[in-house]
Amino acid sequence: MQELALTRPGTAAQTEWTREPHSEPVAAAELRREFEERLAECGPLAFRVARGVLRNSADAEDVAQEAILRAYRRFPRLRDRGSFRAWLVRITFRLALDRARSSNRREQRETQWAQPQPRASTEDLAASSEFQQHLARALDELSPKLRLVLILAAMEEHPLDDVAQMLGLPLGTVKSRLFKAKKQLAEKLQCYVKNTNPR
Amino acid sequence: MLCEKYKPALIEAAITGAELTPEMRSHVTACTLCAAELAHQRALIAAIDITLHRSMNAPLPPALLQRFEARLAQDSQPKPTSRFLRIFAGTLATLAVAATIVLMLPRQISKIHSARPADAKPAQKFEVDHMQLVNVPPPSHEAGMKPSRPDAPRHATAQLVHASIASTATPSQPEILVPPDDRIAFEHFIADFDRGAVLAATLAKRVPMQDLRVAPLEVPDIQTVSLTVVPVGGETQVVSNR
Repeated sequence: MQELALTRPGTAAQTEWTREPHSEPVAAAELRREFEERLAECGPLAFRVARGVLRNSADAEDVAQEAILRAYRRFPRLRDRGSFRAWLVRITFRLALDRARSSNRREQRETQWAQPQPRASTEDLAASSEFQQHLARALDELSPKLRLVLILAAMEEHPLDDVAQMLGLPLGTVKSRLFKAKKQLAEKLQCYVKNTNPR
Repeated sequence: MLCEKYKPALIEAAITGAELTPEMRSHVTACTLCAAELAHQRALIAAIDITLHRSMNAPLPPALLQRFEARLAQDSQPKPTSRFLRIFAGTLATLAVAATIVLMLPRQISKIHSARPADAKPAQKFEVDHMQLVNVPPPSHEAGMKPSRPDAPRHATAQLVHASIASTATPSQPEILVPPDDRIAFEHFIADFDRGAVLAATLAKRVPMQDLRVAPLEVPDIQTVSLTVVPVGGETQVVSNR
């Protein structure tokens, strides 16, 4: 995962509101306003990323708030403000992964994978809560880099080139990761495909 | 067996949604099993996409942004003092490490001494404060005194250093033992040194200049009237100088 460049403490980006005491309130207010503008744009994205990992709105909101607070505290040190969205997405994604690992949801969602299903239509399959649970488990077993691409690509407002730009990856890499992610999911959900073994 | 080689291509085609190659298309047209397999894989991938899309684009909870902003307002302002807090924490950690070292060093030294009994010489404790022997206890025969060895002064010097370290530590530290001869010799040396220091200070002290006029010396006349000379031989003879 690509890291965004942050300035070191004490460098120019930080000193704009730490060096001069008389200008601190003004700079802090300006900083706060700038952050709130970006929050209105990127807050829902952070929530959706967290919900994509946790699949729970309450937990996702907690994680998103925590990510926003962390981003707010480190915002003065963010050199490239244009990459705030990707930065927030990464913070949220990591926090959500940590939350998911700390809670033992995997054990709670113990399911039977080998249970064959009767042939069903796409809508029936997608609406099945059991299928959703299996898909969630398969998502949990994906590697983080594949998972993040899959989550972001599933959002309406994010075409693949936008995802590539957000993650700082070439478009081909994003497509490759998306293909691998779907292939792994399909392999783990083969039990939902009617047994039509080719000769 | 003939269709087995087409299965990866079928899955790939289902995932990417791409058109089949002419060879694949002709095979799928001819083979009903592969056609069904392709349809099932496409249905599975479509179900995955639909489920993901549905969960990722679910409507946001109401007033989500307001809650975010409220949480942001609850939290303190961006902390410009975080740098100072880091410095403060670093200073505290350094002090803690230094205090630990200071407390642990005398114990380690005593452990080293206790771990090497061959080097330990039973003798008496002495304490040193600024090159003066203070509170020297009398020699104790219970301590198992031994005559000093030829290398005793070197050990005494080394233990002098240890004694000065131990004197800054807790009083419960083990006593520093030196041979009695060394101790007595050192005591004499310090006493001589003190006397020498007093003498030197006295000699070096400037005496205030005084008026050294000598009063006229008055010598009384010599009275020879009653002078009696007794001869060695016998009778007394009075001699007069008149």
